[in-house]
Amino acid sequence: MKITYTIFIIILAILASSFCVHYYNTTTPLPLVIPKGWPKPSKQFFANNTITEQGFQLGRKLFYDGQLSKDGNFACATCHQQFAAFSTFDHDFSHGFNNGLTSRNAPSLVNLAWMKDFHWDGGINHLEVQPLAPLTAPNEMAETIQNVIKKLNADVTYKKMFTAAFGPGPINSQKFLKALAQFTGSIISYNSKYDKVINSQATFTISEQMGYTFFKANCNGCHSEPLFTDNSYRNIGLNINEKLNDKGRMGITGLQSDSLKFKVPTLRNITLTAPYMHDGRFGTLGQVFEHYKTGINFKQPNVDTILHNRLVMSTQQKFDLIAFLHTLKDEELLNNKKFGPPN
Amino acid sequence: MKKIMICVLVGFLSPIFLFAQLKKHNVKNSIIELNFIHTVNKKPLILADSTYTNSYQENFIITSLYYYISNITMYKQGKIVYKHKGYYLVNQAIDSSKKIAFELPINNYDSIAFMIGVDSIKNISGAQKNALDPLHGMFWTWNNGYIMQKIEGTSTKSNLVNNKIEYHLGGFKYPYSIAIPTIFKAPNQSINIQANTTTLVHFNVAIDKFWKGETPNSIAFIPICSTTGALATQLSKNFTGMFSCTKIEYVNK
Repeated sequence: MKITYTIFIIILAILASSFCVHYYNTTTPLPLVIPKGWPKPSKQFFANNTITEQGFQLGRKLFYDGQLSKDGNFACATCHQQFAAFSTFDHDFSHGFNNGLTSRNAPSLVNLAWMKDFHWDGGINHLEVQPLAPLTAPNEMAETIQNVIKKLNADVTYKKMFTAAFGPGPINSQKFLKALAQFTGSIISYNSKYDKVINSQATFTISEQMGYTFFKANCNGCHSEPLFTDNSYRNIGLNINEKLNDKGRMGITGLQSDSLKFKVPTLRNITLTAPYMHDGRFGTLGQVFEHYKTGINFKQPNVDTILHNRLVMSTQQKFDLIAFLHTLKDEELLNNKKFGPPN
Repeated sequence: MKKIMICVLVGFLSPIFLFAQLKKHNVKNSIIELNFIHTVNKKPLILADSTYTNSYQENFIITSLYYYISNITMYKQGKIVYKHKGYYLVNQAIDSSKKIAFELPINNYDSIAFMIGVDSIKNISGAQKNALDPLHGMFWTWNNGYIMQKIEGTSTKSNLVNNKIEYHLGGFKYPYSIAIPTIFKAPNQSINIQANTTTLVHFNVAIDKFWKGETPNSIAFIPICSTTGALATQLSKNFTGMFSCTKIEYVNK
């Protein structure tokens, strides 16, 4: 009798303790969507950061919170607007703290989980640490990491949300950065008309089809499908802006051979992310095409060899290519409330 | 009822006691404490208030000194026999940061090695915490990587604004990596880790050697280094050259 009683109690204790573990583990997994036909993400950004509903919602709140900046005015979303595919709509440079202006065009934040490095020069080597750059830049959010963590720890709502996502304990920069990565890494653009055509759920118009054919013959070498970038750094023969004196990738590697190389941007949602190039120098797609036709400065020693045959393009082909690029617009992502400001 | 409560309590607590006892009775480990003593021209380093002179007869004041210690390994007969996983940030302004203590297996080791820096893996693996938390100001946010060794101060010989001197050394990529392990050995002494004894390993860090190491660098010539590359790699050799293992002490518990 006594033995049965003891066994019963032990079982009860085990159940009780497993319940305790369960209580601290009530997060809902929200695995990364890997669209059909896409490669696996190149780096394992989420190997030590399991995406959960709680972490995602926390990251979303942080992304839209101006409090992360020094004066409370600049959120991540200020320069990365959903309706512009998370770039700054119609701006070559973005505005920041104290009438500051950035020195590069804000890139569209889609499909980040498939990138290797971040920024036009690839100076950021992991998704989690990217926010540190705009957060501390005096012309952007102009805040210190210490202050951000202090503000978050003083906020009751954040304390609850951080506990729900990462368990109890004070908020630190690691939890803060992991939450942001869960949100930004989950922004995936894969529901454009192009994707529907590829998955046999829609058909191109004749003009779009002609544009796609032209694209595959002339653009796909760098803007490779399905991500519409090969994540490489290339010099496309743009004349240097003397005022900015931006050497691109060379500023990171220190290698002369990387002079004026910039990251190949994705063309997804390209009709919403004007102006174009790292410094937003071209306002229209027509100007971009003109650069590839007649504007490349071949005096620069390391202009990418892929560009040595100048682009030949008729007016009709130009219209067709623009028609095709319009099919890369992902209305579902642009209107998805899940990625919009939290209530 | 009381009986049930006791049983539940025992059920809950017995594994905890068991583990605690196991740990307590593990006599195979003992404590080592690395003790970093910062000096300039053989006198203890005082931040901000003391003016020193280097071998070029240049005056200087140090306002901050930071460096990482990681990848601590113990050698015996030329082979690595123990690796310690901790990452530590030494800050001249915080006395406790200059003492690094941890447990390791009892053994008579010949020498100790560590990086005065952070290995490449931790430089590329996303957000870190504790000593590696970016809020310590030891992480480059625009060209990612840790500042591994940092000396800041002033000198009238510096041509920089406000006579600043500023050496921020880092780099984890070939050929400009400064995350290199260095082996240290106390003169005529092994590092004999014994039961119930704390082994104190003393390091003298002679800041004045920064200006008279492998790469001659007067303040007038090089008052600043804030990017990775060939200069940082050279200056880092001088930084490493500041360190020497002076003696081993044993303190009975």
